[in-house]
Amino acid sequence: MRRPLLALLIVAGAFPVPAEAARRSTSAIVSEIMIRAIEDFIQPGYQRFHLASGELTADVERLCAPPSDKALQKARAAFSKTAVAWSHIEIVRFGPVAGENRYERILFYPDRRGVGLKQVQSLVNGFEPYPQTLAELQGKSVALQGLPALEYALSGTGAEALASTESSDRCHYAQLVANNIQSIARELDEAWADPEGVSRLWMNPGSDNPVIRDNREALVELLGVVVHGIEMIRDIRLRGLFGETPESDRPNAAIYRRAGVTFASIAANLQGIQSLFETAGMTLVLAPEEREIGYRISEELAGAIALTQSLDGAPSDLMHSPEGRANLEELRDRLARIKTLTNEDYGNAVGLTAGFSFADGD
Amino acid sequence: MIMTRRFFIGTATAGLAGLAGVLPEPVLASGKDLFAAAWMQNGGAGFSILDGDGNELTSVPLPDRGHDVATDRAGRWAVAFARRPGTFAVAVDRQKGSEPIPFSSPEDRHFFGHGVFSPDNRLLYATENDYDNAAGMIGIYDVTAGFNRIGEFPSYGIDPHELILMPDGKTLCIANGGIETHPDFGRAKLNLASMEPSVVFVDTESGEMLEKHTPPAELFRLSTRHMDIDAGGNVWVGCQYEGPETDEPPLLLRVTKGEGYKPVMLPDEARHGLLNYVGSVAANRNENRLVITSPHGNCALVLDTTSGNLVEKIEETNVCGAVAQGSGFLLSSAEGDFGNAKLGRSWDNHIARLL
Repeated sequence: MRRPLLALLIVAGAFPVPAEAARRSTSAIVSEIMIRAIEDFIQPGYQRFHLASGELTADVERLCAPPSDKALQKARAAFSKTAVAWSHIEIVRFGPVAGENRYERILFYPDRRGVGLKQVQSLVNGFEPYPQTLAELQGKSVALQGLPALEYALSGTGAEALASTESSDRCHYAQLVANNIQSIARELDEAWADPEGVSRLWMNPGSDNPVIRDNREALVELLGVVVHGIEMIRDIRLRGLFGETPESDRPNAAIYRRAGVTFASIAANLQGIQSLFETAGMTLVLAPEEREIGYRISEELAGAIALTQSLDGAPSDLMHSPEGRANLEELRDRLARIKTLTNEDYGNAVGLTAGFSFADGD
Repeated sequence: MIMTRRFFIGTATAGLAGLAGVLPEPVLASGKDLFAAAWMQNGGAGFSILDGDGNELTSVPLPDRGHDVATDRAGRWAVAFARRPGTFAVAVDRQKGSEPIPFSSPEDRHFFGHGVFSPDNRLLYATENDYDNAAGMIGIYDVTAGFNRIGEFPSYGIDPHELILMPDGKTLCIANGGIETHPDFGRAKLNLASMEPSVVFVDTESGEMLEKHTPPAELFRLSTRHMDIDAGGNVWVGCQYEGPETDEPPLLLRVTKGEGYKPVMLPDEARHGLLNYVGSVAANRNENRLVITSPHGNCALVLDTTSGNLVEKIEETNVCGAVAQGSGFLLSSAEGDFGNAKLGRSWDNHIARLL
């Protein structure tokens, strides 16, 4: 059974303690944070994604036989729910999601050269044959296997016909893709839920542990999820579509624009970061006099989430209005502040002299 | 934001002009080994020339974070390159001690942080990204004409990182990391499901590829990035793995021109300690030794290049920079360590020796 976090807080910060004892206490807090990150964020996150993908599969199957407007709307709603559930947990890039191209098979994005779009269009336009089985689909390009491909099948050009065409090839393809997403979601859920599996490795740093040897590495890994998550939103989600000038905008590159959940997805990305940071209690690893940094991170995250949730309408409409541009610029500024707070201020406070990103690969 | 050439030169010149009082004096070898390395400090960036005891002879500001420094064989030039996706480079003439010369990659290219001089010191080759076409390029700069860019040839892969000149003086060995990036998306890795790492030998006179060595299909996420050459002419390539942390790929390859590559088997504990990331590779050819460093794993491994056996493991927080010194190696870290000295700078991934 885990100790109450409040008890740890008292040990670590409320009373003066000898240096050695303080070190041990900080170490205990890091272990606690890692356990909470896995049990209260990662495991439920993948579980929610798995459940949503199951509902999506069922709703797409119902759409194919018999088709109807209502069934199409339901399948689209299930897609949106699944995309948002994935957005909440997609900031986790370590563990099983890094294997067997699982991340890219769920989400091939950004598609800078439109490769994925062209491949899906080749299927729906009849230039290439549809895959007929799940195994056949899994042998094809990752761009044909995941959420963007399914989004196009359900909401792209010509998708309205799904509501009226019996046993269409396009609907069968959508079924296969939904099945594939569910299959990967199951693998991720089960891998993290296994008490003897990957979660055990990440919760128990040790010298013989192949992935994480001590509390410092554990904390760096978690901080990496936060910093890289913010970078991903800033560089891939926002900068990928919102330019410095209107001429450099690319609203058609917005993620999930056909499903209409671009900003719901970005808000879910931010909520995932918030959930990890706060549920795990990452502020508590800071010395009491440094905890203001953690509170400011929480405050900025809450502000960024509220702002993103208030963004209404298609990305192109937002970018055409002065108010919309101002809001997107404010989001960009907030992300920059969160990046500095997490990468530099928090990183320095936990002993990463040059900030977290300094050791980022090159 | 992508810096245009004009923007960069303006920025860089302004930054350098602001520090005119500390512009370099002539920095000549005086019996002591001299080194160069890029650094960050309190949000500012630069590179320094210093001796092995950490005494800085000169320090030059950079407009943003640098990476490696290329040095010529005549003891004249030291050129610091921007870290990707940066577009600037800054050359210092050690003999004249004149104002540093900034230059840029073309508008549709950025640097990857590494370069190497031709044997006659007249040309500088730099690894670059033709990002709109996701193609690696080697930019050719005329040292005698103010580092004017006079041409390019392909790296025959994506993401060329470090490159070295082979002993024949006309063949480049290039480590193509295989990861697609584009400045529109910052430093994000865009093709992890279809990476194409390779080690390539290219004839500098014709620009033609002589040999290309690629890891087997199951190791397609093994990014080949840093390298040095041993006394026998073998190239040792340090890798960074982009797959699951629980995988155990070879992190060091030995490539022999005309033969191909062999993975270097490290003892389990040593390999685990690298955390699937090698940040720098340096050979000590006189001693038949090689060091590979891992800032992620906070360690450096010294190997015997004749046997491939592990000789020593050095534990040091955030260690990455490495270069041969005397009978061993000089190491630096992001924590400020430079050999036995401790400076208030976070040293970047590499140390270059000045000849």
